[in-house]
Amino acid sequence: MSINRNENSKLDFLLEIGNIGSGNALTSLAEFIDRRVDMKAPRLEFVDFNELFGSVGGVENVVSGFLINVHGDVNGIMLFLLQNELASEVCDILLGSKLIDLNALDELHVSLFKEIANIMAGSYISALAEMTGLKITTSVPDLAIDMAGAILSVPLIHFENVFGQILLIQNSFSVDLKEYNSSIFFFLEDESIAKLMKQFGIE
Amino acid sequence: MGKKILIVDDAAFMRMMIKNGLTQNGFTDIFEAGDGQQALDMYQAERPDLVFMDITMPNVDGIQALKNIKAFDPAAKVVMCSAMGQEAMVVEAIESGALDFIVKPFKIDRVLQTVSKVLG
Repeated sequence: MSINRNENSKLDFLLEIGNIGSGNALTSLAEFIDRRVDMKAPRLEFVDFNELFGSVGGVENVVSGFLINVHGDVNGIMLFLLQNELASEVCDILLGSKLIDLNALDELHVSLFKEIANIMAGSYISALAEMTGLKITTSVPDLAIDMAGAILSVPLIHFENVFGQILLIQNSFSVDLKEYNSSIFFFLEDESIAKLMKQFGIE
Repeated sequence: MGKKILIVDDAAFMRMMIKNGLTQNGFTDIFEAGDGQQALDMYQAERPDLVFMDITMPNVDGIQALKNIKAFDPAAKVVMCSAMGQEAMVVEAIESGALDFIVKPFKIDRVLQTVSKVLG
């Protein structure tokens, strides 16, 4: 999407937030599963609603999606999309068995998936809060296992008129030499973006 | 060891992880709650010696549950366990009466250290 030159500082600021936040989130994932996680530099960009579906590659890919409300001094929504192969690998590491049928999740699997999202979102948001001195909290994650397009449609339906720009952070990383990708969509209210920037002295 | 410990977390996996670590180290009287309201009910029924309390939970969150438990029993020993490790959250928890704050993810040794410190 085209970005107005006047918005360059805003763009740089939010991209840096995304960079630091996603680094913290993946570090927390590594600690949670007690495995070495090697990260490549994240790819960060702003997308608008029309570009959302094209941004995730195959919209028909079945993925694990976690929707988390962000509230407090900053209001927004985080949507994590994780490859199901990663979810299965984490089950193998922490529960001792690979996940075969994603349609047959029991309470333990669901809680494990949600805890992954909780820890990753919590470390992302905590990094943001520490950098800005603002108080920011997150909701309990909602989990959906579905096609990426279907999961993305949820925030679109509910929040299209509220959020103008969406920060997309795409991470590539490896766990025990296996490559994985994840996407984080951060929907931030304009008022919240302004508040964050003010904390950094950017008007 | 005779000490009662209450684990409060909406994630069954986290309750299982903490419970396994405690039982492997000799603790047998372990109770579980899935949200803040259940935590208060369980506390009133069992009067545990120590409570591990998540913050982000449905219905009644961990900070409110901490306040409710401390209102019921000012001597209650509550340790927060949360992925929301930001300073403001830690300060609010400590000011509300929490004894310690464990940031997720954590290793079970961190939990055991806290048990040792709090229960002696």
